[in-house]
Amino acid sequence: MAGSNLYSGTLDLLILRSLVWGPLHGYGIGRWIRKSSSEILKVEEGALYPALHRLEKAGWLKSEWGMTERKRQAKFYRLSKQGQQHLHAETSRWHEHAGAVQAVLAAERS
Amino acid sequence: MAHSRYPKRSLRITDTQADVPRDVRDEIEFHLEMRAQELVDQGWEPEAARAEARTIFGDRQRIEQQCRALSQQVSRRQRLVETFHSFFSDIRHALRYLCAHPSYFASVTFTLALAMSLVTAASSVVYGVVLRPLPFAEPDRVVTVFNNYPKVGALRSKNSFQNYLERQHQLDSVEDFALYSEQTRSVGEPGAVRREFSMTVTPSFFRVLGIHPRLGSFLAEEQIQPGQERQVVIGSRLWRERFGASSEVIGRILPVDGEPHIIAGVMPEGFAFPGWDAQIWLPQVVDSEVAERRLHGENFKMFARLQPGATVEGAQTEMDLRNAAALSQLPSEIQTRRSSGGFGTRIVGFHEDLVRDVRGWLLLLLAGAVFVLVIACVSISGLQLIHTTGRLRDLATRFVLGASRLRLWRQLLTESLVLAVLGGGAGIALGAFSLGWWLHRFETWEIPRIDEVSLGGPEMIVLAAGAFAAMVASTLMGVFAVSRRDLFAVMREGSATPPASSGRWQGGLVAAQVTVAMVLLVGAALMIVSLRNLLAIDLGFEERSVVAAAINPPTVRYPNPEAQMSLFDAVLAEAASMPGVRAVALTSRLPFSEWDEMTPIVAEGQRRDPGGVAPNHHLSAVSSDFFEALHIPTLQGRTFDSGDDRSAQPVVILSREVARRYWPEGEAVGKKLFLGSEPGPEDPGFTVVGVVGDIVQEHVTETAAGAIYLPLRQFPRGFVRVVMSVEGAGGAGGVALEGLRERLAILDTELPLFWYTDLEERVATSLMSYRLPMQFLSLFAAIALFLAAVGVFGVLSRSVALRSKEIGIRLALGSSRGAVCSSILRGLIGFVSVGLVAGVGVALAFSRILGHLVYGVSTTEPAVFAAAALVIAAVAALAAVLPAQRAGRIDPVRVLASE
Repeated sequence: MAGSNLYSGTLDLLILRSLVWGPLHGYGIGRWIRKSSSEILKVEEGALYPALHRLEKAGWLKSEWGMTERKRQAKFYRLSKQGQQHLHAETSRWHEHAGAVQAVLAAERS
Repeated sequence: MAHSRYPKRSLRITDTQADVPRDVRDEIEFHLEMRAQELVDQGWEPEAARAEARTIFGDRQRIEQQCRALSQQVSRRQRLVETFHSFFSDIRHALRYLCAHPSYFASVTFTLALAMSLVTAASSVVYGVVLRPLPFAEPDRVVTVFNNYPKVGALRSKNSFQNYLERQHQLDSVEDFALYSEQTRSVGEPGAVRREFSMTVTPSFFRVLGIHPRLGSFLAEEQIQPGQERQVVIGSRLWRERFGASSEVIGRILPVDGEPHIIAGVMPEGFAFPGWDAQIWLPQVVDSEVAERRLHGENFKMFARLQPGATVEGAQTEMDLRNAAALSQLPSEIQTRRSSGGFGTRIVGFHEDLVRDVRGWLLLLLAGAVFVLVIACVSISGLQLIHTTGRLRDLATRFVLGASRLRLWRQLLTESLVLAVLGGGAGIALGAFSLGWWLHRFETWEIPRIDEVSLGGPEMIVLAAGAFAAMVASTLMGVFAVSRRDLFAVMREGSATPPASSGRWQGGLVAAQVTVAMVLLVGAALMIVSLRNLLAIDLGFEERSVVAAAINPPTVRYPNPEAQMSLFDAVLAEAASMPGVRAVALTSRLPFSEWDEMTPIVAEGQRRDPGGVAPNHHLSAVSSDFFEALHIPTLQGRTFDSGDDRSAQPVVILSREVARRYWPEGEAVGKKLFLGSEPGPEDPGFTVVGVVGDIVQEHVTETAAGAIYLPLRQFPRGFVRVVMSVEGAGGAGGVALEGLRERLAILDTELPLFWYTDLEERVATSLMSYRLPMQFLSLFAAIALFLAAVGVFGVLSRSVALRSKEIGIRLALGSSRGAVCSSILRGLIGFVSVGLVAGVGVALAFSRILGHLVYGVSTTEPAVFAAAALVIAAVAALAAVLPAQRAGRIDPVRVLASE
């Protein structure tokens, strides 16, 4: 499941995050992730697509075919209500986790 | 269908046959193109950019495969969701449409609900009374047994002790015979005496029922012998009410009519003997040593349980043989009685016998309700046809805009289903709600088992399913109309002109409505005429403001006739002193009260025809004011007075029928007669002192048998009814009975007054088997008539609306308005006539069934048919007035200008 390992959990979170401002097609999501975090998709860009389909199956994303600005047919993804809730929950969890790691790393020897 | 790639894809979300592999391929192809473009924008060569895009994408084949697998699961689920979604959206759409057409919606739903409620209630009653199994084990094996003497008109006599002794264990096809009789008894300790329905039964009774006691055991076999300690079985209701459902009740003493009885057992919970809800079962003592007169008295009902696999016919054959073989061993008097009466013993299924009087009526009622449902469905078909024609243009528009014909049908079908579900559901709810009212009506008719009727039954479910199918079929009329229409043509013509064929359809529906209405109307009319004939019969006595109640002084405290008579005198004096009581009397039997005693007589000096059979006459012992209390006129001589006691000469009063039969010259008064068919040599006989008018004894349709009245003082009876004629109507009788009960309690605290009877009510009840079907058939006929009128109105209105152009032209060309109206009406007259003729045919086919249900009128009476036809024609004409007027008022100038 998403979040069970660091890599796929992070990718899921980034995908959901990328859709906060509105629907995007796969390429657009990939580009946003590349810009935000050059590391995640370094291995293979295509890994994005199974993740998208998995999230759609989980009900967090909805997809629909539509037109791009350049009048091309593309498959657009958007956040479902559940997806928004999940993103919210995962974000707080991430912040907690990160905060905890931060604290450990910053702790001085007592 | 469009073949270009993109439009096809843009329909993807609603397309349940989504092409998953192609979608995945297209999605990734798009990504690669865009990525390559991005690289080109950064200065790459196009060829190299594409190669680089593919490289950084990774293993395309594996990724596509993963995506396909995931997507296919989504798509399968989505398809399911979409099916549901479209189903609900169809229903939502249908509801929205129906709500936008409230009058159409309401009229269809209301019609369906009305018809369905009638079918629901009628089928519940039929199931509860006629079809529901009796509370016996294997009820099909239980049969009723009774003697008959067809040659003297006694088609249903009871059975004797002797019959029981000669039948029990003597027939191979019968497991057990049982005798039983029905009474009421005073039950309980002094101070807590209550009257309960009881049965006196042979111990085999419980084996015939095939049930097991809830507690204890049933009556022991030796209880049939005389000289035993008496046992009693109690019903579970009595057990709960009187003994608080205590399990230690077995072996306790319960006084019944003042005599101690040991409680042997408790009946199973909820057991109710059909037609007699007894709570007390006492042993019937069969003493083969008792006087012959008692042994042969046919005073008992009998039923029996057949051996497994035995048939009623087989048992009947065996019984006939047994009767023939037993004849020679009987006393000569009984042999004579049997041979002169054409003696036979009938064996009939218990259930069949129980409902014999009401079965025909109830099935007729159900048939009536089904007829109403049929006419309702026909009416709805008509409504649908009109309505669909009205929306043809709308449907055609949607068709042209790309909705498939299948899609339109699906919507119309959904509307039909919604209507049928709503109408049918409302009908069942209304039926359940109105069932109480129905049962209340039926209670006065005294139908067996009516108090056990509840909603439903398996047959009702079948019927409801059938009704539902009929409703859907009738609401589908619109769908047929659309399938027959070229929707494009409607668009081209620019008006919703349906082809002529739908007019014929509608005319056919009107004819069908008229047919059904005719059948119901004829049925109702026959019943109305029957009831009128019955009500016109003179009863010979005044039933209004006459009430009665029974008293039965226990022999323990009133051991001889003198003691009883002094109590009766005190009761008469108390009752007479009450305000508002006009006259009071005692009698051993009351007309219309199912308590009969009959006897043949021999007139002195007259010989019975040798071989002829003396007719039976109703015999009552009455106190002196009986004739005054019932307003029975004295025709000759005098009535009884206080001098007619045991010290005086025995006297008798005859009804006119008896006097006329034996003394046709009118010379009866002063003559002597003997009771019974063979007067003994010592019999002093009775002197006739008066002749009174004949009265109807049990039912207005009976053939007068005549009555004989004896003075109660000379012919004492322990069981009598107090009859009071009171002043004022309505509740006065009830008040008088209550007053009598209070005064009786002062005379004797342990003497219950029971069987409160209002004679007017009894007479009305005896007519219920005519009155109720008349009321219900009239109701059904009125509904049918109304629906037929609505049908006629609908057809004509539509025809006027569609032909307004033609009518306008005709008027412009000089046709008179009268001619226009008659041309509109001509088609209608044809359809109504066809319906009337068909209705006469169907009604004639049903007339045979109605035969024994009417009185004083033939089921093929032309006047009744003519009247019914006339009513329908008048109603049709009335329904036609408005549309015809509208046709006459069409303004040719306006119509032609609108072209």
